[in-house]
Amino acid sequence: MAGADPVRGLALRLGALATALLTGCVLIVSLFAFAAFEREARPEIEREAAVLARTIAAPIERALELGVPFDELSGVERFFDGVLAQRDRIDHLALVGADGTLRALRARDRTGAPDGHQLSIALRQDGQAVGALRISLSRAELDGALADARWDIAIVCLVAFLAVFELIRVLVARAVAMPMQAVDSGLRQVLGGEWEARGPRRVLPDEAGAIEAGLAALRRRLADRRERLRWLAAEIATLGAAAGRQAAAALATLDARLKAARPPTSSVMPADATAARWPLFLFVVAEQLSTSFIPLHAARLAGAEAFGGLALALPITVFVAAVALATPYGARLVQRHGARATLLLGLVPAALGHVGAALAPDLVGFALARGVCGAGYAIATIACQVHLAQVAPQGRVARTLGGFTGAVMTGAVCGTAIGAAIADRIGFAGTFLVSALLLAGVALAGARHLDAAGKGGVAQPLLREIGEALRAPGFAALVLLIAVPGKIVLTGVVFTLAPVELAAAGYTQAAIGRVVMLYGLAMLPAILLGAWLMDRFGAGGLLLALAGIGNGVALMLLLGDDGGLGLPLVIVATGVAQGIAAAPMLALAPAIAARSGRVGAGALLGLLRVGERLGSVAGPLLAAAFLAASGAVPALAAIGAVSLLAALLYAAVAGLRR
Amino acid sequence: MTLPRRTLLAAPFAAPALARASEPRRRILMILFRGWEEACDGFRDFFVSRGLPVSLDVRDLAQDLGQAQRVIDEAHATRPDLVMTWGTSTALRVLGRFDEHVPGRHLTGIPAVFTIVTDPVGNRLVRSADRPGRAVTGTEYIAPVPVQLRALSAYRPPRAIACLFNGAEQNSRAVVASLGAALAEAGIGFAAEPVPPGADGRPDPAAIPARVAAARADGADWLYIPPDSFLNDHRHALTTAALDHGLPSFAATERFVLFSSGLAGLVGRYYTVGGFAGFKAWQILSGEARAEDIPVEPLRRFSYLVRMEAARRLRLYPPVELLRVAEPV
Repeated sequence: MAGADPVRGLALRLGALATALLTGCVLIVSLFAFAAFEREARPEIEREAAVLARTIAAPIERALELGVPFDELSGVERFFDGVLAQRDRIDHLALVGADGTLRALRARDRTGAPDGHQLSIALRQDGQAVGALRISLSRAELDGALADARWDIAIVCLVAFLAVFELIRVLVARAVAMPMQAVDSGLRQVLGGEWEARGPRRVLPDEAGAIEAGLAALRRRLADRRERLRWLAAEIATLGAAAGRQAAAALATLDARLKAARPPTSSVMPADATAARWPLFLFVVAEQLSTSFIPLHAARLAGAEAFGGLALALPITVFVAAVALATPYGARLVQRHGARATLLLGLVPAALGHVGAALAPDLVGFALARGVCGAGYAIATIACQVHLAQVAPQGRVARTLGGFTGAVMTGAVCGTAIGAAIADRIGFAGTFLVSALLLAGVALAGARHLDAAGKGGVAQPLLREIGEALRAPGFAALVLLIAVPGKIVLTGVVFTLAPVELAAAGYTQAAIGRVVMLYGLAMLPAILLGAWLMDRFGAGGLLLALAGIGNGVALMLLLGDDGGLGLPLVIVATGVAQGIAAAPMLALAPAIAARSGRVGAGALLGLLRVGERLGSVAGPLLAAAFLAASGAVPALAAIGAVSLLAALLYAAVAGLRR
Repeated sequence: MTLPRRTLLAAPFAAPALARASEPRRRILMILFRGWEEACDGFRDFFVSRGLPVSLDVRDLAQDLGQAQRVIDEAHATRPDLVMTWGTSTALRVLGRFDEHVPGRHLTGIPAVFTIVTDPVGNRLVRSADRPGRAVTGTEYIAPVPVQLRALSAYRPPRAIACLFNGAEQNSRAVVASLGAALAEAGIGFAAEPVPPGADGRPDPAAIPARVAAARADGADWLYIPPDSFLNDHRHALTTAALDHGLPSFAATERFVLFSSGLAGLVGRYYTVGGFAGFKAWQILSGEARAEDIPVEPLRRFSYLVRMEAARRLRLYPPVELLRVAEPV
């Protein structure tokens, strides 16, 4: 009866309304912004074209000035050829006499008439008009600049939308869903015969909070009245047995009537599961602010001592290695101290790392700071993940854990875009300090939204824990055949080979960035779909295998593709496949832990993420090796084959176990 | 003939001069072939503009190499810090070929810098351009012949090129031979002839117009003017005859275009070449480098001169593209 849940319905409707309003506003503002851009930028571009035209006309004007008669200008065609070869923006040049006769003509496309922006420069000699130079600028070039600006505005809209939607989620959860949930559970307790409230809950001073507080007062008065009735019944019982029985029967009838009014069991989405997304989202935004410029900053710090790309990759490699090494310890910290304390603990190295990165005087210092940051990232994110696994209600495990991947992806998309804009204004070091400041917000949100519970008892020694985990039925296959290949495809294809191949196909840097972004955009709705499928039908292994097979086949289909559209489509397919797999993969870990009974869900989630990190490291290396051996498209297909084979093997292993 | 001594006190208030006031004044003996001209201005101005403590003693051979021995003897007697020579013939006479050097007859024991010299390696003034092999270095001023040919073709591709020169001048002969080889390879006609001698056995300037007319009649569509002192003296007769007969002329040196009626030329500006020689001289005088270690170099940039008046008379205007780089005069 999840559909009848009034709390979830309200949250959804509020979210939809806010989203519609926001989208409308953003669209209107964007339209105005774009109109302003057209108004301001088009004349600017045309002015530039006019300057360009003047430059081209200069030698002809000089010849006329030096007394060369217009009709005896020589070598004009050759001059035009040189201009066309040097300047892509121009596609048509003509020299015409004062009477309109054509003296010289050169065009990039000899078949069609010029269709772009036209400019005509009058040529004069001794004060007399003798002719004109006609220049046609390529339309594609002009429109390309405007289209780029349109895309930028669209991306800003998208980022604003995602960030505000996250905020609405948490506001709805705190201001509406949590009080409603408290009311709901309070009522249930009363109806279950539990009249006394279990300790006070801090309520917000708003309408929902007032209702919650009012209900709590009502409940206290009801409890008092019932207590008084019980006292009266006890008093009556002293008057005689019959009177006592009557009073007891009246009390029982009252209790029975209340119990009969009890509503059916609901599966209210726990509001704290939604709320826990907020600190995680903020944390990922803080971390990803620097994504767009870390290699640039590394290059700047490295200066003359840069040894090719190796030095530039150092900070990223150290970060990934630190995350992989610290994740299992993070999982153990959660077991020992609970999610909230672990998150707050993880914020310390993360903040130190950001400040260190801002102050680092050289490449090695910068890489070390990134390593410290990576350790903080590992600890903080595993804390949120384990928290979500613990608060996930039965029947909604995948959807709750899918929220983790969703928050990370949304945070990554928003953080990268916002970070680039911030860095443009205040520089790289300043952006790292902004990240450190944002972590203060994370600490505040974490302290409010995560509960202190969640300690899972004493942790085993790490190695034994890893051994137990790998012996747990199906876990090794999940890590090696699903988690690792998934990340190989992500980093090898989306982040390494696709940019290389797209650049070779003539995409601009901005366009490549947009195509890579398609991955995240395709993934976000797919996460919801995968989580819903998992919770609805439960066949997690099948979903994972199908996603891996689909991803592999999509990549291998590229071998037959001869147009330029294939690669963006494959990136979308990869986003969809990995989105569908995200929640089931995470949801299988607690299930395996429950079946095994010897190892905690937190430890399994931690190891799963270590596996993913290993895949992330292997992806670019594998891609580079395939690329060197065979070229980009066969390399893409080869990684597709890796994904396909791993998924088939996983299907076989999962089938055998069943 | 000897010019009066020129002392360089032109910049006594310049800061570098004050800073160097305590340095001893260096003496340079300049041996010129045909008087003081633009390269000498450039050479002098290099020192003046920097306030360098240098004095110049100028001796002009007035195109008479017979006077050279007297100047060489004077140099050996007065021991200047450096000798500067102007022109190919002067350099060959004063410095001798590196493998035929006769002490006493040629300058001995004093470092030398030459300027306005054609093909110093081919003329065996130095062993190689990078390492002169003796205390002699200098500057080249002629663009390499293939580069000149490309520059001429950019104006109008030639079918047949005519060339007059003074057979007595080594510099002319070297360039004409080099051009002949390049044109033969490119399949372009080439007719080069020395200016015929007059009654005194020396080249006869009166013969120039007739030879130009004959070249035009034989089908030449360009007249090439090599670096040549005799032609320089009679440049007006040469370039006017070319204009009169509708023959465009292309010169290897600036004076035929700059101070006469030649149509075009790819040239090292004499003033700049002289300044460059001054730079090399100061490297030696200041002790920064030894002459034998300083390479012989041409200028990095040459000037494409076009005389627009000649173009108008010939109705042969430079192509638009060429006007982006050419210096009209």
